[in-house]
Amino acid sequence: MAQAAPVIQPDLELSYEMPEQVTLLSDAWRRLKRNRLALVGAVIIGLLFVTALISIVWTPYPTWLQAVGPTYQPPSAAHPLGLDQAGRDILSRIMGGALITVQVGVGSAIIVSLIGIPLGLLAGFYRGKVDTVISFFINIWYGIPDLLVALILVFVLSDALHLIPRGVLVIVIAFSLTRWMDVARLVRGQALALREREFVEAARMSGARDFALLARHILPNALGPIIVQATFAIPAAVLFEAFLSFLGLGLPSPTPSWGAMAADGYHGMDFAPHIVLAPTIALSLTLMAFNWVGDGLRDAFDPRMRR
Amino acid sequence: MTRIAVFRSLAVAVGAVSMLAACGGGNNNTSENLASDQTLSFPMVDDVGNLDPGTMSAAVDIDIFRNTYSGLYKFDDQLNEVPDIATGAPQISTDGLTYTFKMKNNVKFSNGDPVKADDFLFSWNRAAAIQGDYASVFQPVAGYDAVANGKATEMTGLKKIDDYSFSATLSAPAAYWFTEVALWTAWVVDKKVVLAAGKATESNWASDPATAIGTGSFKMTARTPKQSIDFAPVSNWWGGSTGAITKVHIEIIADQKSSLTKYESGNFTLIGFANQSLDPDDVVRYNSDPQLKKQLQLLPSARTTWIGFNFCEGAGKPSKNCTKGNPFAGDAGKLGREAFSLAVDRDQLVDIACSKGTACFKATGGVITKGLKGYLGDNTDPWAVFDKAKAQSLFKQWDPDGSKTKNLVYTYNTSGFNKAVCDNLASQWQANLGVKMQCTAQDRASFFNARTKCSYPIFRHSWGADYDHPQDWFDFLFVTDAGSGGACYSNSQLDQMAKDANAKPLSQSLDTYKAMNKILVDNTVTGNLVYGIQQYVSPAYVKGVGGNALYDNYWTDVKILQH
Repeated sequence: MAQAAPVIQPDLELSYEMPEQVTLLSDAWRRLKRNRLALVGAVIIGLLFVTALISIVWTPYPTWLQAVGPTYQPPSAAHPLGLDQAGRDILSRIMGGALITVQVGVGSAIIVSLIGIPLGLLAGFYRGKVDTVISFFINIWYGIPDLLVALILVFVLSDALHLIPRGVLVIVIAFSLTRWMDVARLVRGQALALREREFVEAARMSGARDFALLARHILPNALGPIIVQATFAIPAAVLFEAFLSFLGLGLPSPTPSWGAMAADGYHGMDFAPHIVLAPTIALSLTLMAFNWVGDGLRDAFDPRMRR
Repeated sequence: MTRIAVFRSLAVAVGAVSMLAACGGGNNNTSENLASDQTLSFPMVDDVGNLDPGTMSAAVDIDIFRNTYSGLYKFDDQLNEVPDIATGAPQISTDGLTYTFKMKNNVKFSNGDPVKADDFLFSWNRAAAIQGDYASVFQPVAGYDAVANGKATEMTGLKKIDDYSFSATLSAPAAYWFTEVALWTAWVVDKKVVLAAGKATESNWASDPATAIGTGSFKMTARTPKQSIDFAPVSNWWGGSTGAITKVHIEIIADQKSSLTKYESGNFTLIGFANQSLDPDDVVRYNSDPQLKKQLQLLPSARTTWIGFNFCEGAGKPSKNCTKGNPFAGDAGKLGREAFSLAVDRDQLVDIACSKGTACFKATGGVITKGLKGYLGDNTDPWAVFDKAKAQSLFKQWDPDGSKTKNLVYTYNTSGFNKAVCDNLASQWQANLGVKMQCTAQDRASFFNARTKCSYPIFRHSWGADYDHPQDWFDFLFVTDAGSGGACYSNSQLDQMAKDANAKPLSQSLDTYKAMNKILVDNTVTGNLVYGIQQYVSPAYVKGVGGNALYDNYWTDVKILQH
């Protein structure tokens, strides 16, 4: 009787753990949490959003109400950030300004993405004439001084044609129409690269249509850079609004725009610096926070930065 | 980085203020010994706009060139009209139509040319032909229309009697015209010099110091457009002494802060001449610092600012300029006008919009500015008081469902003051009436163009008097189709009263003008807000700085003491 060949038992000591399967977003979040500056930025942004939400239903004083106390009054217990040149409570206006900032920032990021993503996907996916036409427009828009065009747009849409009342919406539209190219170009590049990848080819071979390829395979895989780009668009829009309002070309008075508040306090800086300091500090913190978070997201989504 | 810059700026500012305060404290020299340097220097935000008396209209220009030109009459410090080149008051015919003027025979232009009746006839005909903003000064003179329309070159009403006297015949009695003869449009220019430089109606000669010849105590000696203008006293001036000042230097500096910095470092003698003002925050700083306050003068100026209400009730009604009805118009809108006026706490407005009362003070005596003829008296305007309860009651009667004030827009021409006023009105009306109003700024040209057509339902209005005569207010603002009205107000009773009053000397017509002013108040035609203030800043050792409601002091009044 033939003896059975000995069975080689696997050496259990040599087995190794399989790497944990993680999604792109969870992986990015894990690395983002390690970035302290980004976390500080996220906390500031969180506070900004909370403040903005609270200001919808409550501020210590109405943001428009003048003469709640003596003009130029420095910070006090009743008015922690003091009063401005019209006797308005600066804390209330900073809170109201937070809402404006969120509206302008988020609104602009959304519209920029809504314009830039489809155009970038179409250009990168179809290439050829579609890409030529869209890239031509992108290059044309890049050649136009964006600030000047945005200023003209605000004037034309609000003051000349009276199509949109002077307010947040017209600022968002003017900004978005002059800044959509960054997202479009970025998405185009992503689509150009992704369309050649095996998983896209496999999906195409299994009968997926163009829209499904773009929506289910290419866009989700380009999402990381898009989020980063959108995050950087927010401080740009906020700064744009503040700049316009500082020049008196932005939101109408008495809207508590931080830029307009800084302009109001500018001339009294030598004897009432609190009027200009409060909005500029709020604006600076907000811009820094979005930039820190943007940097953090960029690192988190970048596969070369894996640690 | 930002904080460092801010604190550095603050430190510099604090240091500068401290130094200035220290200097101010030590400069209480009341000696009448004159300083060796008698250069009067001051800044202007903009260059002069017009140097030709025939086309001049801006207060800035007039304040400067009333030192280089003069006419038959002028206004003294109390705004009384007194003879200048004329020997006395004109002889007026019994029908009130013909004015005979007699001139001093020793008057000379700054180039030595004698001033004769021909020069006046030339100057006045020329001004009528040029059709500057104030050419209408000569509108009462017979033959004006033909010259204004270019059909004639000389007004038929002007007649030379001899070298030193002439007459002016009016087409209809206009007693106020004698006041207008003292205005800049009626200043005399050197016929010989103007014609040597070109056509009579050209103005190039007035911009060139060599040919800008007048009869005032000073003459222009140098000018670099948009940079500076210099003047010097006229040697052997026909009027006598030209005072202590030996040179006047005006610099054009757009930034008020920079001007003040130069003043504080001793590079300007004063700020405030030529209708200039300080940055609002700086006025507050000067007014609140005991040492700096000694340098600041706040004098009433002849300007009233009010809420303009649109009186159009429909297309062509009551004025040809009307295109549609407005909620504030007519009797139906009276409650609304009253409510909006009563809902304004003018003390708060003055505190905020007038930089704590340094730029204006509350208007409580009608639309004609306090200090001018026709003023009704303090606290005579019952709608210029703050009464929130009454305002709310009237408002509820007038606009119970808020439909009349939905999307209400108050329009003003762009300026820091107008914006501050509008913002404060918006705040007060929202707080006191619950009306949410939007402030809209327009560029000056667009604003005036639209306002002339009565396009705005509610708007900023103001008037700076040209001369101290109520006719200046009613004819330009409140008679039917008045050129600068903007409200399309029309009242046949007021029109008739204006016509009657204008034909009589002011001594006989002042009560009528006041009654007309009262009509405006009773009907809340204007929501009177504030009267103006002119600011002057000068060290204690500079004497004679200031002015009256209409004009700065003459430069001949200024002297610089040793310091």
